[in-house]
Amino acid sequence: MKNLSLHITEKGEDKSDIPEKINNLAQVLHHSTKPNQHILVYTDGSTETRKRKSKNSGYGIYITTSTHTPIFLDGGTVRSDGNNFIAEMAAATVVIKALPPDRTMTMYIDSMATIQALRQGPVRNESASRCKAGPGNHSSGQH
Amino acid sequence: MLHVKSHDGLERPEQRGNDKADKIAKKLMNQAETLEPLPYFITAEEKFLAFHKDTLITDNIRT
Repeated sequence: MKNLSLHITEKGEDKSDIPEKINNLAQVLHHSTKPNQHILVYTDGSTETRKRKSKNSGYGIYITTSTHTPIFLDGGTVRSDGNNFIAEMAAATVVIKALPPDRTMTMYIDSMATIQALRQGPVRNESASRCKAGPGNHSSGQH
Repeated sequence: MLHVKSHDGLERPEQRGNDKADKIAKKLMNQAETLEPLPYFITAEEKFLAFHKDTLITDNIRT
C-alpha cells in the first residue's frame, strides 16, 4: 500500500491574522455605525491561478452605509494553496464575526460557492464530536 | 446575502462595491505573493484538521 503522508490533528489556535482583523473591523463598525443601522458589505477574494508564485491569496472588504457612503475599505492576506474559495470565505468570515449584534447588513459576494457554504452553516457539532483524535491528539494513517 | 456578478460594469452601486473589494483583494494578493506561506486560517474549520504533508486538506479527503 502506498503511504499518502496523511495526518489528522485536533484544531489548535488560529495563528493567522484573521482574529486580529475581526477585532479591528469590530472596533470600526462599533464606532462608525449606530445601533440598528443597516450597512452594505462587499467582499472578494483574489488568487493567482495561472502563474502562481506563492501559497497566499488576498481578500478585500468594502463597507458602506445604506446610502453608499464609505465606512471601511481594507482587506488581508490568507494562505489558500491556490484555492480562491478560502480567500472568499476569509473575507466573509471577518465581516460576519465583526458585525456588532445590534447592526444588520446586506452582503454582496461574487462567489456562489461561498454564498451556498455560508447559507449551509457549520458542520453540526454532533457530527464533529463523533470523531476522536488518536493518541496525543495526532494520528497518521497509511492507505 | 446576495450574489453580484463580477467584472460586469460599474453602473449599479453593487457593481461598484464589488469592484472596490476586487481591487483591494488583487492589490493584497500581489503583496502576498512575495511572502512566505502564511499560517492557515482555521477559525471556521471543523474540530479536526487533515493534512497531506504540510498542506491542509480543505476539500473532500477522498478526492
